[in-house]
Amino acid sequence: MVTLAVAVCAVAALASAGLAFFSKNLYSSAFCLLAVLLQVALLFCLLGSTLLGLLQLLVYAGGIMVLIVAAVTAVGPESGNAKALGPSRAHAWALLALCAVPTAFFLIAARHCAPSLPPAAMLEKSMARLLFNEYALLTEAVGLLVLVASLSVLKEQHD
Amino acid sequence: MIELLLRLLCAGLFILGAAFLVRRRELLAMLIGLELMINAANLMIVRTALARGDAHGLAAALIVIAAAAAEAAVGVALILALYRDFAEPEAEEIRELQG
Repeated sequence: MVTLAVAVCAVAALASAGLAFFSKNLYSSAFCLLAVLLQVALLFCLLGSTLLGLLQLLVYAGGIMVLIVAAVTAVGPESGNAKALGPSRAHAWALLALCAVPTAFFLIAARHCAPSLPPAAMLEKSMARLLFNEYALLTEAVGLLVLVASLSVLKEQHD
Repeated sequence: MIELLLRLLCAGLFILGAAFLVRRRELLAMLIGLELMINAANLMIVRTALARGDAHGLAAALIVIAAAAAEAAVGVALILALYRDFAEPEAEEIRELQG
Protein backbone atom coordinates (compact mmCIF):
# COMPACT_ATOMS: atom_id res chain seq x y z
CA MET A 1 0.00 0.00 0.00
CA VAL A 2 2.84 2.38 0.84
CA THR A 3 4.52 1.60 -2.49
CA LEU A 4 1.27 2.37 -4.31
CA ALA A 5 0.89 5.65 -2.40
CA VAL A 6 4.50 6.60 -3.21
CA ALA A 7 3.91 5.78 -6.87
CA VAL A 8 0.74 7.89 -6.98
CA CYS A 9 2.51 10.82 -5.29
CA ALA A 10 5.48 10.51 -7.64
CA VAL A 11 3.32 10.44 -10.77
CA ALA A 12 1.22 13.36 -9.49
CA ALA A 13 4.35 15.38 -8.65
CA LEU A 14 5.80 14.78 -12.11
CA ALA A 15 2.47 15.63 -13.76
CA SER A 16 2.21 18.85 -11.72
CA ALA A 17 5.77 19.83 -12.63
CA GLY A 18 5.01 19.10 -16.29
CA LEU A 19 1.85 21.24 -16.12
CA ALA A 20 3.90 24.03 -14.54
CA PHE A 21 6.46 23.82 -17.32
CA PHE A 22 3.98 23.86 -20.16
CA SER A 23 1.70 26.50 -18.65
CA LYS A 24 2.32 29.98 -20.03
CA ASN A 25 0.49 31.63 -17.15
CA LEU A 26 2.62 32.44 -14.10
CA TYR A 27 -0.32 31.93 -11.75
CA SER A 28 -0.83 28.42 -13.09
CA SER A 29 2.86 27.66 -12.75
CA ALA A 30 2.82 28.90 -9.14
CA PHE A 31 -0.17 26.74 -8.25
CA CYS A 32 1.42 23.74 -9.97
CA LEU A 33 4.52 24.34 -7.85
CA LEU A 34 2.25 24.33 -4.80
CA ALA A 35 0.95 20.89 -5.87
CA VAL A 36 4.53 19.61 -6.30
CA LEU A 37 5.48 20.90 -2.85
CA LEU A 38 2.44 19.23 -1.31
CA GLN A 39 3.32 15.91 -2.94
CA VAL A 40 6.94 16.14 -1.82
CA ALA A 41 5.70 16.75 1.73
CA LEU A 42 3.45 13.67 1.45
CA LEU A 43 6.46 11.68 0.20
CA PHE A 44 8.54 12.80 3.19
CA CYS A 45 5.76 11.56 5.49
CA LEU A 46 5.39 8.29 3.57
CA LEU A 47 9.15 7.68 3.78
CA GLY A 48 8.89 8.04 7.56
CA SER A 49 9.99 11.62 8.28
CA THR A 50 6.78 13.27 9.44
CA LEU A 51 8.64 16.24 10.92
CA LEU A 52 10.31 17.15 7.62
CA GLY A 53 6.99 16.68 5.81
CA LEU A 54 5.27 19.11 8.16
CA LEU A 55 8.16 21.59 7.89
CA GLN A 56 8.01 21.30 4.12
CA LEU A 57 4.33 22.21 4.24
CA LEU A 58 4.86 25.07 6.70
CA VAL A 59 7.92 26.62 5.09
CA TYR A 60 7.24 26.01 1.41
CA ALA A 61 3.46 25.91 1.09
CA GLY A 62 2.95 28.39 3.91
CA GLY A 63 5.84 30.77 3.32
CA ILE A 64 7.47 30.56 -0.06
CA MET A 65 4.25 30.03 -1.98
CA VAL A 66 2.62 33.05 -0.35
CA LEU A 67 5.65 35.12 -1.39
CA ILE A 68 5.60 33.82 -4.96
CA VAL A 69 1.84 34.27 -5.38
CA ALA A 70 2.08 37.77 -3.87
CA ALA A 71 4.91 38.60 -6.29
CA VAL A 72 2.91 37.27 -9.25
CA THR A 73 -0.05 39.35 -8.08
CA ALA A 74 2.15 42.43 -7.83
CA VAL A 75 3.67 42.06 -11.28
CA GLY A 76 0.95 40.02 -13.00
CA PRO A 77 -1.09 42.68 -14.80
CA GLU A 78 2.05 44.19 -16.36
CA SER A 79 3.50 40.89 -17.47
CA GLY A 80 2.59 39.74 -20.93
CA ASN A 81 2.51 36.15 -19.85
CA ALA A 82 0.08 36.69 -17.00
CA LYS A 83 -2.77 38.31 -18.87
CA ALA A 84 -5.30 35.78 -17.63
CA LEU A 85 -5.30 36.12 -13.86
CA GLY A 86 -5.65 32.66 -12.42
CA PRO A 87 -5.59 29.22 -14.00
CA SER A 88 -8.28 28.11 -16.43
CA ARG A 89 -11.11 25.98 -15.11
CA ALA A 90 -9.78 22.74 -16.62
CA HIS A 91 -6.33 23.50 -15.27
CA ALA A 92 -7.75 24.18 -11.80
CA TRP A 93 -9.69 20.90 -11.79
CA ALA A 94 -6.62 18.98 -12.94
CA LEU A 95 -4.57 20.55 -10.16
CA LEU A 96 -7.25 19.79 -7.59
CA ALA A 97 -7.27 16.15 -8.69
CA LEU A 98 -3.46 16.04 -8.61
CA CYS A 99 -3.57 17.23 -5.00
CA ALA A 100 -6.60 15.27 -3.78
CA VAL A 101 -5.79 11.81 -5.18
CA PRO A 102 -2.28 11.50 -3.65
CA THR A 103 -3.60 12.89 -0.35
CA ALA A 104 -6.32 10.23 -0.29
CA PHE A 105 -3.77 7.50 -1.01
CA PHE A 106 -1.50 8.95 1.67
CA LEU A 107 -4.27 8.88 4.27
CA ILE A 108 -5.08 5.26 3.42
CA ALA A 109 -1.40 4.25 3.46
CA ALA A 110 -0.73 6.10 6.74
CA ARG A 111 -3.02 3.67 8.55
CA HIS A 112 -1.06 0.70 7.21
CA CYS A 113 2.45 2.05 7.84
CA ALA A 114 1.81 3.41 11.35
CA PRO A 115 3.67 0.54 13.13
CA SER A 116 6.87 1.22 11.15
CA LEU A 117 7.16 4.84 12.30
CA PRO A 118 9.11 4.57 15.63
CA PRO A 119 12.60 4.07 14.04
CA ALA A 120 12.11 7.21 11.96
CA ALA A 121 10.93 9.07 15.05
CA MET A 122 14.15 8.07 16.82
CA LEU A 123 16.10 9.35 13.83
CA GLU A 124 14.29 12.68 14.05
CA LYS A 125 15.19 12.92 17.73
CA SER A 126 18.83 12.35 16.80
CA MET A 127 18.50 15.03 14.12
CA ALA A 128 17.13 17.54 16.66
CA ARG A 129 19.99 16.70 19.01
CA LEU A 130 22.51 17.25 16.20
CA LEU A 131 20.96 20.58 15.20
CA PHE A 132 21.23 21.98 18.71
CA ASN A 133 24.62 20.53 19.60
CA GLU A 134 26.99 19.69 16.77
CA TYR A 135 25.40 21.99 14.18
CA ALA A 136 24.25 24.70 16.60
CA LEU A 137 26.34 27.41 14.91
CA LEU A 138 25.05 26.42 11.47
CA THR A 139 21.46 26.43 12.76
CA GLU A 140 21.97 29.92 14.19
CA ALA A 141 23.52 31.10 10.91
CA VAL A 142 20.59 29.77 8.87
CA GLY A 143 18.12 31.37 11.30
CA LEU A 144 19.93 34.69 10.89
CA LEU A 145 19.87 34.27 7.10
CA VAL A 146 16.10 33.72 7.15
CA LEU A 147 15.67 36.79 9.37
CA VAL A 148 17.75 38.99 7.05
CA ALA A 149 15.87 37.65 4.01
CA SER A 150 12.52 38.42 5.67
CA LEU A 151 13.71 41.94 6.47
CA SER A 152 14.78 42.43 2.84
CA VAL A 153 11.28 41.49 1.65
CA LEU A 154 9.70 43.83 4.22
CA LYS A 155 11.98 46.68 3.15
CA GLU A 156 11.19 46.01 -0.50
CA GLN A 157 7.45 46.13 0.16
CA HIS A 158 7.90 49.29 2.26
CA ASP A 159 9.76 51.04 -0.58
CA MET B 1 10.59 -0.45 -6.18
CA ILE B 2 10.21 2.66 -4.00
CA GLU B 3 13.90 3.43 -4.53
CA LEU B 4 13.49 3.30 -8.31
CA LEU B 5 10.33 5.41 -8.22
CA LEU B 6 11.99 8.07 -6.10
CA ARG B 7 15.10 8.17 -8.27
CA LEU B 8 12.93 8.62 -11.36
CA LEU B 9 10.89 11.30 -9.62
CA CYS B 10 13.97 13.21 -8.44
CA ALA B 11 15.57 13.02 -11.87
CA GLY B 12 12.32 14.13 -13.54
CA LEU B 13 11.77 17.04 -11.16
CA PHE B 14 15.38 18.16 -11.49
CA ILE B 15 15.27 18.00 -15.29
CA LEU B 16 11.96 19.88 -15.42
CA GLY B 17 13.35 22.52 -13.06
CA ALA B 18 16.47 22.90 -15.19
CA ALA B 19 14.28 23.13 -18.29
CA PHE B 20 12.31 25.90 -16.55
CA LEU B 21 15.54 27.81 -15.95
CA VAL B 22 16.72 27.40 -19.52
CA ARG B 23 13.50 27.81 -21.46
CA ARG B 24 11.52 30.44 -19.55
CA ARG B 25 12.67 34.05 -19.65
CA GLU B 26 10.52 35.51 -16.84
CA LEU B 27 12.42 35.82 -13.59
CA LEU B 28 9.57 34.48 -11.46
CA ALA B 29 9.28 31.39 -13.64
CA MET B 30 13.02 30.89 -13.25
CA LEU B 31 12.60 31.09 -9.48
CA ILE B 32 9.87 28.43 -9.68
CA GLY B 33 12.25 26.20 -11.65
CA LEU B 34 14.93 26.72 -9.05
CA GLU B 35 12.52 25.66 -6.29
CA LEU B 36 11.69 22.51 -8.25
CA MET B 37 15.39 21.65 -8.50
CA ILE B 38 15.98 22.26 -4.78
CA ASN B 39 13.03 20.04 -3.91
CA ALA B 40 14.29 17.24 -6.12
CA ALA B 41 17.70 17.34 -4.46
CA ASN B 42 16.21 17.55 -0.98
CA LEU B 43 13.95 14.57 -1.62
CA MET B 44 16.97 12.49 -2.59
CA ILE B 45 18.87 13.65 0.51
CA VAL B 46 15.96 12.65 2.76
CA ARG B 47 15.50 9.29 1.04
CA THR B 48 19.20 8.45 1.36
CA ALA B 49 19.34 9.60 5.00
CA LEU B 50 16.31 7.52 5.95
CA ALA B 51 17.56 4.46 4.07
CA ARG B 52 20.92 4.62 5.85
CA GLY B 53 19.48 5.66 9.21
CA ASP B 54 21.65 8.77 9.12
CA ALA B 55 20.47 11.71 11.24
CA HIS B 56 23.13 13.99 9.69
CA GLY B 57 21.34 13.73 6.34
CA LEU B 58 18.02 14.72 7.89
CA ALA B 59 19.68 17.70 9.57
CA ALA B 60 21.16 18.70 6.21
CA ALA B 61 17.71 18.44 4.61
CA LEU B 62 16.23 20.68 7.29
CA ILE B 63 18.97 23.27 6.76
CA VAL B 64 18.41 23.09 2.99
CA ILE B 65 14.69 23.82 3.52
CA ALA B 66 15.52 26.88 5.67
CA ALA B 67 18.19 28.12 3.25
CA ALA B 68 15.78 27.65 0.33
CA ALA B 69 13.20 29.76 2.16
CA ALA B 70 15.76 32.54 2.61
CA GLU B 71 16.83 32.23 -1.04
CA ALA B 72 13.23 32.50 -2.24
CA ALA B 73 12.59 35.55 -0.04
CA VAL B 74 15.68 37.35 -1.36
CA GLY B 75 14.85 36.27 -4.91
CA VAL B 76 11.31 37.64 -4.72
CA ALA B 77 12.59 40.91 -3.21
CA LEU B 78 15.12 41.28 -6.03
CA ILE B 79 12.53 40.48 -8.68
CA LEU B 80 10.10 43.04 -7.24
CA ALA B 81 12.89 45.62 -7.23
CA LEU B 82 13.68 44.82 -10.86
CA TYR B 83 10.01 45.15 -11.84
CA ARG B 84 10.18 48.71 -10.55
CA ASP B 85 13.03 49.57 -12.92
CA PHE B 86 12.04 47.46 -15.94
CA ALA B 87 8.50 47.09 -17.27
CA GLU B 88 8.94 43.42 -18.09
CA PRO B 89 12.30 42.28 -16.80
CA GLU B 90 13.69 39.25 -18.54
CA ALA B 91 16.92 37.47 -17.81
CA GLU B 92 18.77 38.88 -20.83
CA GLU B 93 17.87 42.49 -20.07
CA ILE B 94 19.60 42.60 -16.71
CA ARG B 95 23.25 43.06 -17.50
CA GLU B 96 24.60 45.37 -14.84
CA LEU B 97 24.04 46.31 -11.23
CA GLN B 98 23.31 49.89 -10.22
CA GLY B 99 24.94 51.33 -7.12
